[in-house]
Amino acid sequence: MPLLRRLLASALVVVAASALCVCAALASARPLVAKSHHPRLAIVHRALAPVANLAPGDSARRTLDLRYRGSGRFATVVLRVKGLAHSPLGSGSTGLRLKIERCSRAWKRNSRTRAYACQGKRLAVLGTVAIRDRQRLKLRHLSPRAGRTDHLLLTLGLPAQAGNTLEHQLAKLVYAFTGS
Amino acid sequence: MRLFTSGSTLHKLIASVAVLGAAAAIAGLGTYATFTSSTSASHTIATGTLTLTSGPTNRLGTGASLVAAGDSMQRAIDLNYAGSISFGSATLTTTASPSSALDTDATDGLHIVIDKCSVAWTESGPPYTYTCGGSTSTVLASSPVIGTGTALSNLTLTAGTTDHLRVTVTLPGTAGNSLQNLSSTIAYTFTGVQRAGTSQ
Repeated sequence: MPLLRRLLASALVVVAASALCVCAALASARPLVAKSHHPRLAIVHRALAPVANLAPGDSARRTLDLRYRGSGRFATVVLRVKGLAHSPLGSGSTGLRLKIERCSRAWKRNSRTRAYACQGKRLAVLGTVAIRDRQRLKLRHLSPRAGRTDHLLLTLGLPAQAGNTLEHQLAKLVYAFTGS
Repeated sequence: MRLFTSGSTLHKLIASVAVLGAAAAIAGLGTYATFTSSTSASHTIATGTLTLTSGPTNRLGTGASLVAAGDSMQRAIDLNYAGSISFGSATLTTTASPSSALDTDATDGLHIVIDKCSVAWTESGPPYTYTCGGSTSTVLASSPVIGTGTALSNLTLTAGTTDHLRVTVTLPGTAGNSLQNLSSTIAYTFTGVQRAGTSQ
């Protein structure tokens, strides 16, 4: 009997503790998320400079700092480019192409040549791909740990074989980064 | 017996606790498993335009008849450059339909020369002849009249400007009797090509 009572009491304690844990997690989800396991993505300058009068063979480069806040780290970061659903610029082989590189230090721009230089370690985050609307692009060689910042260089261009159907087109591209 | 009975109850209790524990663990994991975070940046992308037009002067549609060996005919045409992208080059493609030995005989058949005047050509005639009140330069040296993607030289190619061209088509003096009483219709297509790709 004493053994049975002790077992019963222990079981009750375990059940109560489990219930309290679940309730606590649900009741105070934000502090748990922010302080324990949940990094957040942020971009400081969200409005990139527009690209005008792009012609076949042209490329445009824009820098973007992807910051990881909170705590913990992401297992993966993916990019979806939106805004090309009804545009011939998102037509695939002859449409817009995107390449993303990362520098371990902030990118430096030469004001005369307008070229970007990396004075740290340079890594390929996304090889050149033809972008389609909302296509899932998995990014590599990031450092998605809270407190870090990835200095990204986006190179957007039109292939030289792009034809007259891409003349005089306008699209607003949204680069949506999602960490999970 | 009681102990046995108690043991059975104990097993049930332990099983219940295990089930509850597992449920709590799954609930806890589920709470953390779907965490994601998103952020975005945006900008506009606009492609440019390239426009090549002819006029107001364009005499290329005016034919010539009773052409003899050694004769030449002059026609003027203005090429206008417009659009938001600069031109890098221009080419000329000529085709013949109907065709004859006048355009297929590359030696004794029709030949073409194109000159440019820095100002509009002064026209007289018909038969049309042109004089230049400014400076002239050669756009295309003497070539057989039929060609594909023939490169043109000394054009301004600047958006908002016009090149004043004079096309001279000649039947060489060496043309023999086999070229008598023939007719060809020549189509001229000028094509502007954008500047080389740049980095913005």
